[in-house]
Amino acid sequence: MKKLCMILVFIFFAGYSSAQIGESFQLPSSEVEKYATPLATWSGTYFNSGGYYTASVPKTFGFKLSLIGMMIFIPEDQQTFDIYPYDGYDGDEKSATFFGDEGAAVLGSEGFIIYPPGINMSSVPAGIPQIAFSFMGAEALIRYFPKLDIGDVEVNLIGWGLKYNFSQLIPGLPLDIAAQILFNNFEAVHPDTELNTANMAFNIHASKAFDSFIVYGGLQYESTNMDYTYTYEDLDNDVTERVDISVEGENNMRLTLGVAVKVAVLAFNVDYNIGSQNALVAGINFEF
Amino acid sequence: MKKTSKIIFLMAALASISLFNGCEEIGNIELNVPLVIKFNVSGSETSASDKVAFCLNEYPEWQDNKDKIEKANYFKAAYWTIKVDPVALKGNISFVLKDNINNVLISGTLNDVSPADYINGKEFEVGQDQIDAFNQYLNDIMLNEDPSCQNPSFNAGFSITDITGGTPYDIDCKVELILKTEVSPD
Repeated sequence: MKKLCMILVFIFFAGYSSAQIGESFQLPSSEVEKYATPLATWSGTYFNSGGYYTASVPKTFGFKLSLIGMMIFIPEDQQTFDIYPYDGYDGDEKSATFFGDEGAAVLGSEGFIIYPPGINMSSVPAGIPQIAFSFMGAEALIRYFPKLDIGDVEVNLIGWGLKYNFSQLIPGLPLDIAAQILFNNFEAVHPDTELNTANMAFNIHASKAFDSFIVYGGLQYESTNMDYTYTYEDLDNDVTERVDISVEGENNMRLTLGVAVKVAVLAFNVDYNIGSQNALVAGINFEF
Repeated sequence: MKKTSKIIFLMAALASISLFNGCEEIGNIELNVPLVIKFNVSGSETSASDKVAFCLNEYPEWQDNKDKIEKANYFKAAYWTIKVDPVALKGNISFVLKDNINNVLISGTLNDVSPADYINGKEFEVGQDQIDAFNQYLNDIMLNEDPSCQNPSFNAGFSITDITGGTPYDIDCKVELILKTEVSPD
């Protein structure tokens, strides 16, 4: 049984969609967008998670290495979409999104219009490592891996973030308050498909420490854009066309509530994120 | 410091593992596979027919996935008129799909119709007994189909009878069968 792993969701999509959407399914781009939108939302939920577990930032130099794991829950209404294969279509059929199950087949003027199936998953795990450096109440966060060849798909990630604890400017505040901005770009290139996601997040978060126990929460605005390019082989006319599609994720706002425990140089945190797709996030952080 | 470097190494190792593990199993993917059967009839008689023998392996969507298809079932079938001349032609249209020893699996009839009315297609209503017979045969032959197709798995027939509306006539048409397959992602 093949397993679907974290960032490999994208690789699977890149290879799979090239084979399935580009060749077998001659769908209008508007329908491909509806099929792929939950994947863009998943991308945003993934890359925009795990940015913090405390608003406190060391006033002197600090270093943090974090390993973030998460489970992202795909709501039922993002597993199917209402199809509209051509102007004037008056049916009420639904078809699977990337995370759904069965693809539809509806009568078209030149044959059945066949929709791709999904991978039939309602919760998708993901993980990401990151390092952060802090100085004078400000923190820089980096997520990166160089170009990797995985099968016939080449992937790379670069992400960064900046955070500032502005509560240090207001003496006497009973809790720490910080603002953070995050940018993450992920690219997967298949010989017939290119997929690029650009993710941005801005949040205000607060935390309160009780000895080694931390309670934290935040409100985050975020956006995701997924550019998707595939080649389409028109076998009837013996031509190959390149199709470019840009999909906006539906992740816009999220509320995060979490707790963390510090044990010597390690901190363990868990938080729940309520947004377009909810996510349970846990982290192990080594810091000094 | 030695302990610190060990922790960093362990975290880095865990981080790299975390990118590619912690996975969830993907189940079979339900892929719709179209089988298109094209016919042509022409002439001046009051009836005409065409026959096509075919194998599943002739269809690229099946061929591409056949090693991973674990199950296949009938999903939908429909008839399309691609071209008809004269447009006013009328008759009784019949389609039949038989196995390799000519047992009828699926059949459909449209009585006293004009082929020109089906340029945009017409879905067949197929009875459950025919669907069961088709599914049984399909799953019997799909693993053992002759790659060279010297003994075709299916025999399809199209006929139009009681033709009125002008001669000579010429009809290009097709029947499309959609199979719902379960494809292993392995």
